[in-house]
Amino acid sequence: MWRSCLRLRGGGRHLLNCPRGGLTASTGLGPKPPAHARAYAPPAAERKRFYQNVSISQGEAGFEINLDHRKLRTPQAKLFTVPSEALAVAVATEWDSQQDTIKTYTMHLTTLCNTSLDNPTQRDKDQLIWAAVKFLDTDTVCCRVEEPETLVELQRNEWDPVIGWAERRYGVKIGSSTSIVGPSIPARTREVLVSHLASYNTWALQGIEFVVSQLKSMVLTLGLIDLHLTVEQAVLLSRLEEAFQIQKWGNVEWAHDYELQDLRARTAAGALFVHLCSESSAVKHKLLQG
Amino acid sequence: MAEIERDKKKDVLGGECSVTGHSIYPTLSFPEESYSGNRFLMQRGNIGRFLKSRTTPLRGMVPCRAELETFNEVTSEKLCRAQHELHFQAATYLCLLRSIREHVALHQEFHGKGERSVEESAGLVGLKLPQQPGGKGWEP
Repeated sequence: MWRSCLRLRGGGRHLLNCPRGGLTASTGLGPKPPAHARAYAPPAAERKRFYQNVSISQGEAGFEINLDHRKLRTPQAKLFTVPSEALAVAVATEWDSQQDTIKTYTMHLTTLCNTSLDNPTQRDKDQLIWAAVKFLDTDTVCCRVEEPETLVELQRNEWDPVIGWAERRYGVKIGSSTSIVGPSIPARTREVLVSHLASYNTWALQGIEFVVSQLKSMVLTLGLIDLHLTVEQAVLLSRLEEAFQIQKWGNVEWAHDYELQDLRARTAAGALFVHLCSESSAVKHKLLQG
Repeated sequence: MAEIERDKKKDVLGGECSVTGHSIYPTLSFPEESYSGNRFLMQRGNIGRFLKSRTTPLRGMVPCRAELETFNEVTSEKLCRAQHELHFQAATYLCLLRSIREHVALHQEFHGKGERSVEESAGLVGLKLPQQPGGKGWEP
């Protein structure tokens, strides 16, 4: 969530190096509202859509997005380049689908690309891998409850197959536990997963770490990126207890599935990002001999 | 007419899947087309072309090194697990678009609009704020 706040604050000023006209608060103060009034000021007006056409071009470093002949830039004013053409098209579609105002909180792929390009927290590949594998200690599907009995059984029926699949797929032991310290993950499991994740490039790892932090589960993320689970299934398994409670007691009146849709959107964006960053394409021409 | 023998080496499938290799995803050949924003999935290669040229069974799992060496068929197209993977990517993208649309709709329908500005609050009771052209003295 802090990541999206970072985008909203910085994106308005640095995108395309445009002057920040028209964004001041409506009160009669100077260009910068005083700091103590920020808590009470209404939210700044969103940027209006200022471009008509979105297109893609290929530069030296990769594919770039053009908004009406101007190149898109990251919040740190670097040129926005993506290595994959399909990812560029998807980002262009995100920009193109904004109507009237630009809602940066809906542009998850753009946010992920910005994070990968800028690396504001300056994490290298090992730190990303470590952050992702660390989630295994408190993995959602490994931490079980002891009561009520129906929830215990539901968790066993839904989560055990996923853990079993992951154990078979990677040849490791994960297991589940009801204790408060969580499951005990053997060191060999960690090594195998670390070396598996090392086979992805940095961009894909950003996406993987993002999905892990959304789903709160490493096992479910592995299922997603290995095409074993769909996004809806993974989100449902991540929110299993919530779904159980909603089924029993009904949803909170003002919740309206808001967080469910948000989680689905972010997870889908992360999974798509990982897949689009992990592929390469090449065209080889057939040799025709007369 | 010589057809390209399917390269058995790892880089045809986009990288080896052993633990030190890089990307494990297959290569796809892109048609050379102009781009416009909404043709994302249609540009991802002709699905029919991939399906027609499949000569090995689909596998849901990532192929390991041993499996790669058993692919010795000769094809005129790149072999890829396009059907399963493309379907998955299409389903993921659909989920993304649908959930973003519903999220934005929920936000607009139900989300709080925030506080009123000082001027609006004054306007509620029929008052107007005083205008001070020079700004208040103590503000930057």
